[in-house]
Amino acid sequence: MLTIEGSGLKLCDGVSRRSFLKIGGLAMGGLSLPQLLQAEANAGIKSSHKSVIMIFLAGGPPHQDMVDLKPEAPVEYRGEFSPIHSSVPGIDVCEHMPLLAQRMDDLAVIRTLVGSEGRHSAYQCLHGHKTLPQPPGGWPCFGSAVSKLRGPVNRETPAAVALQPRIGGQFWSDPGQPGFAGMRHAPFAPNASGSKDLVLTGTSLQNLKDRRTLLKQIDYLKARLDTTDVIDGMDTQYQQAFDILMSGRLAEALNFENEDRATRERYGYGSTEPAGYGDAGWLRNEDLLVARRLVEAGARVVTLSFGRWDWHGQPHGTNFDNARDHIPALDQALSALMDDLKDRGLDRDTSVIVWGEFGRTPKINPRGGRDHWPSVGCALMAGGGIRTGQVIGATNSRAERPVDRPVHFQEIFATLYHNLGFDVDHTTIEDMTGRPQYLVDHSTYQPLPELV
Amino acid sequence: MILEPVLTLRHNNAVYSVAFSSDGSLLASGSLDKSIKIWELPSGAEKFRLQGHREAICTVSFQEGDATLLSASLDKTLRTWDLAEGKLKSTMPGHGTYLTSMAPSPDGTLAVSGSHDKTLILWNVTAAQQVATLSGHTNLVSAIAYSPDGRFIVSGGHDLLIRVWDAETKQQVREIGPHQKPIQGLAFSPDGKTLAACDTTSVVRLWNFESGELARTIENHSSPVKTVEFSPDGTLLASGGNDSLVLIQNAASGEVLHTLKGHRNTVYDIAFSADGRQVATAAFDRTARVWQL
Repeated sequence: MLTIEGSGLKLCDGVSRRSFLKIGGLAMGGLSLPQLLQAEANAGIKSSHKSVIMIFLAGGPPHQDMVDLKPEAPVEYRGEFSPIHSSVPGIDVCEHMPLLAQRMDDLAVIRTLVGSEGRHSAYQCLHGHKTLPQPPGGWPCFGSAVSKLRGPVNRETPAAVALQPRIGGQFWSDPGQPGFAGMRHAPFAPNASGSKDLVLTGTSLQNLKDRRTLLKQIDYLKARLDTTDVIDGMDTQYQQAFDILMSGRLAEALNFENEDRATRERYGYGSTEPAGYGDAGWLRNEDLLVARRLVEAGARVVTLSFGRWDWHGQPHGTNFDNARDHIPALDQALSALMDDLKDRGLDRDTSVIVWGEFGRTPKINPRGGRDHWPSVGCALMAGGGIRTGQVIGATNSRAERPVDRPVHFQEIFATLYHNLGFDVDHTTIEDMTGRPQYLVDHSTYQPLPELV
Repeated sequence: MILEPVLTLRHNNAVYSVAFSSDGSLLASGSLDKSIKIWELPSGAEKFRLQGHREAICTVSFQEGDATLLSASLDKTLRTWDLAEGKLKSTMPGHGTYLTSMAPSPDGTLAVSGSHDKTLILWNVTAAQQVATLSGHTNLVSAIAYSPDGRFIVSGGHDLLIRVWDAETKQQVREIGPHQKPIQGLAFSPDGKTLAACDTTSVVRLWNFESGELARTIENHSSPVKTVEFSPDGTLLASGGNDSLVLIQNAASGEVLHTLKGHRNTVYDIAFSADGRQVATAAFDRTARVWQL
């Protein structure tokens, strides 16, 4: 962790210089001041602040217990939950999603998400590509790609922010990799391991206001560490970090405690404790509120991980025990986010995507759990000007596989890029060899025509 | 009559187990958050938070005149805790995989644990040593109980049979059942004549322990029952499960006398206070609750 104290900067116990440098890239997003200035210079083409909030349900949510219930299936398939009608005739959802059911006019339900690589990882949801193969430099995550292409909206707020928790399995708490977009476009990750003190303690904003003191502190740090070209680059890293913090806009956006009580009540309250066993991250309703605040502050892409949805059964609670715990929390927080965006006039410019890495086995296992099922999963989309109040795709009688309109991960990404104003047929980013790479495999996958 | 809780006590994750101290002044709760909390009654103030288990705590039990707490965890260990200091006293490792159930002997000197490794381990708690491994189950063990006279141990799980073990010889002596679905909970009546068992159906079965015959079934729940418990005088049978309700029933007739309503998720454990006037419950909704009958 990085601690800023009155007498200077210091590295805490056990943090190597290498780790320290990593913190600079990971947590700060690597946005250089020149880049910020350039972004401002280009503000004319960036004035349209379209954004995306991505809610990752780590572990793989049970599609058949949320938005594709099969009440006529045999008991060992259909599960414990009953469907309820939504505000859109013909679209039924889980009984534990009453608030979202009332808002179905503003939602698009994808019941046939396919193309999962089948591994426990946030990678595919964050990057839009399977883990392998990788082009030179590696695929940038969605936020990094958007940051590279558009830069920040303002100098105080990074284009890409990842709220993934510092706890839990790294494959789920990954904030997303910058890949060939470059380290300077890595998502700003205030909750990432290694950045706790930097953000959550507020790092004494009062102290940060004395820029001269800060610069002395940086000089002091440099004197204590070996001077290399990488160290020299830290000036820029910390300069922009301090710029961001000193402005107060980002810190303000992250500080949901400042939100009025009624709004907080609407979103509900979560916890920073593990939301399950073992490698669980946290389930914090407040992260959705922070996402809205970040979008307001200028973020273009905000990602977050919500709970642990990998429910194999006893002795860690059945799939249904865990679902009764997580689904109502999602129902409340996501409904609040949708309402909040609408109330603030942000809904048409802000796309919301909710999904996980795969679905879960149609047949309930002997321990009351459902296992991994890459054959089909689900997603919820809202906002961004898409056509809502509809279901896309249909599965067979046991929710085992699509029988109509399979939707690939890359079609979702193509839609999200489209919502941000990118033409996936023509927009490219150069990889490390200078070869232009398209954002998605556009020859196969296009924005969903049902939605755009 | 519908009753509401008089206390709601919170953990950071699902609560799997509860136990009253013998004088009713303390309540222990064990959770998936890996902690055990000792609560003062009737205030509900947290007295100790016992941390050291590396996995969920599946069973807690006061021992030695409430001076010690015995706990069992999915981390494959039993532990004892000094309740004067709130400190760990001993750790007893065993089992190849998840330890999911535990019952102390009536005199508290022994305990038996059941595991997903299909075995039972008998422990000398005082010496913190394993005494014997009881093998015979062909699938996961998920429920266990000691007979009130200490002569027998019963266990059940995914092989659908209740196995009866002689606590002295450590040999299986007979089987009861089969059930139709994996057995989730077992409880003896205080006189040792009746064994209540629940499985992943909505039916509670009362077995005549001596004959092994099914005495009766009780079907008051609408979904699978997770746990059963007799009151200290044996007149009441409490049950709880997936419908989030706890039903207090006449043990003889099965009539529902009280419905304890307040949990929002599956009820995992039920305990009566020694005087039978209070009930504590543990549930997946991250709470333990106390109810006044």
